Amino acid sequence: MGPRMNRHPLLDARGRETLRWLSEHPAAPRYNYACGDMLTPESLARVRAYAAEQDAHPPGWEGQPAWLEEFARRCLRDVPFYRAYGGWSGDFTGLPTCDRHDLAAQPWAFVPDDQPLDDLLMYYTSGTMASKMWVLSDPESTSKYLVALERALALFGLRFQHRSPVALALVGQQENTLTYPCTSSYLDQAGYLKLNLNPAEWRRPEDREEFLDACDPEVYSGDPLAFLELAKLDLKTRPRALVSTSMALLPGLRAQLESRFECPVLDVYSLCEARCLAVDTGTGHQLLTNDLFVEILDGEVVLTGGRNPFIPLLRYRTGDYASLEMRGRTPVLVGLEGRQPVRFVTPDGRSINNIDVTEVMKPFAIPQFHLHQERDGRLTFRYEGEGLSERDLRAALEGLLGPVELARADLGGRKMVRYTSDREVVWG
Amino acid sequence: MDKEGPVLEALTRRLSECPSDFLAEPRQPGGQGKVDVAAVVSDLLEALGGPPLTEVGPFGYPSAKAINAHRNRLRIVLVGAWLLYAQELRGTAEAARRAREWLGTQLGELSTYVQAENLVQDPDRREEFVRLGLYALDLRPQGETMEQAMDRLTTLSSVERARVVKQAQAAEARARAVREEMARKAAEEAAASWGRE
Repeated sequence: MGPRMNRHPLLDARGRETLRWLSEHPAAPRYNYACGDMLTPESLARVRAYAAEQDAHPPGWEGQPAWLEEFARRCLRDVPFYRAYGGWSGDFTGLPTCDRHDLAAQPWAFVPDDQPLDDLLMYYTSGTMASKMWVLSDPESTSKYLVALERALALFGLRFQHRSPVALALVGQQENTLTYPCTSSYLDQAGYLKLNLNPAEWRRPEDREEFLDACDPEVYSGDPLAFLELAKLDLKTRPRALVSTSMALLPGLRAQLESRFECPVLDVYSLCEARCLAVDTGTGHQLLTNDLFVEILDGEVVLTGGRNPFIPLLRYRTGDYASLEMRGRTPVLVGLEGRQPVRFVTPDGRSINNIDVTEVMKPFAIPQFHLHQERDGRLTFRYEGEGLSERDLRAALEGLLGPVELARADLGGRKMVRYTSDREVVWG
Repeated sequence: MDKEGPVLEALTRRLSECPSDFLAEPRQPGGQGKVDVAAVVSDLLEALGGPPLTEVGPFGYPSAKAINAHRNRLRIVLVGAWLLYAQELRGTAEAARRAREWLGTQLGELSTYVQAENLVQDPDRREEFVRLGLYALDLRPQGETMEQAMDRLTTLSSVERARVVKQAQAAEARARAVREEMARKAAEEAAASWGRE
């Protein structure tokens, strides 16, 4: 990685001190990267204006949001990929849809003609499927993630209070990931950490407890596997919330984590293409910002809008499935399931859909699993997690599906498809 | 272009008054969209003096996955159908046969570089489209010789081609610039990401 000219344009004395402390703490991990928020006074002002706009006009619509037609017209006029669709007909719902494969194949075709390239940043993502992809972004839209996160916390009556050295720690439990300390000028120079809990990344395994207690993060963000690892540490401090992303969070594990950390666990729906979208308030995932329009097409979540100027989304199929409920003007995704519905066939020929499997899995504290059906009908359930009763698990699964092979497996800590079948079939 | 057709301006004006129904979304296999293009074309063919369509053929989407590839072409078919509905063009089975041929097989290339609404909104594109339509019916505009009509159509088409080529070059240059910037930035440090997807 080559250096950039200025990774912290707005770093002040307090921020510099926080950064130095996070970097030089005796129990700090061996960081393998360095970066900042790259916000300038102008872009920070725009992020703040965005936050104020979200406060003034929470997400919601009747029919369609007022901005939708102008946004669609602009996409059809200024974005090469959408220009090929052939113009505006006055009917938004007749516009073609696109998906991750389109974006991965030619990300440059989604950049509007008039979008300056100076602030372009590149992020690499492996995604759920094999579709690795470069995601284009910029510092401003990247920091707007924090605005969406604040709104998610606010729905639980929480906000950053800046009483700890670190506002937010993103933890992973991975073989290899970028780790670094940083500060956020949007969060008034508060510290931010991106950490790997894998002991190999630390000088001594016990440094993890010592460092995290010293940092006392207000919020931990990560996936369920990382939180299970975090739960093993003997931490004296308690966060105000855990924010779970990347993988589906089953209620059993959520309850276990809430009890362990004595704080709410927020299940956030986030995508590389649109980032932090919605948070589960207990009865569904509530949309967080007013710049996205959500439709459900054949059960699939389809997005228009977004805060990333390099990826204006026009009827973008996410590959995730849910139904949409309007509670007043507030859009809520109900029954959100990652990826396309899969049906499993029982020995007596009944067809069971994966949502029913998720339902029977809910009591279990399983961070990650994969159910697969072979062409000959054999079912294999591979899972990670400790302290689980295989007997209870088998009873739950076999009560629904008939005989199932169970196997503990290292599923790699990556986001993955939970359900697959070689017997076909998906919903038509 | 043996025969003299209507006055050019009558048809360009007709095109400029294209009703919004003919610019609406073609009906899709999944039920979205508004206009049944095949039904419109079938009615047109009968109005011109020919038999109706017996199958949808090129006047519908071949599949739900082919919407991107055919949407603009089908929208142009609708605008073309509006044009040929002109009272002045009705009356022979031969006109209907030629109209079906033009609308069904000859608008694909045009649809790759002109958006349907530009055929209504842009004066040069209106004139070009009217001349193309008349040419397809083997007509020339009233008051023009065959040579004049051919010459004007060629001029309009070549100016348009030059514009399209220039536009395509600009689009390619822009795509190249974005790709180069992507390559450069991929090797550089990014900003803190704040969260994981």
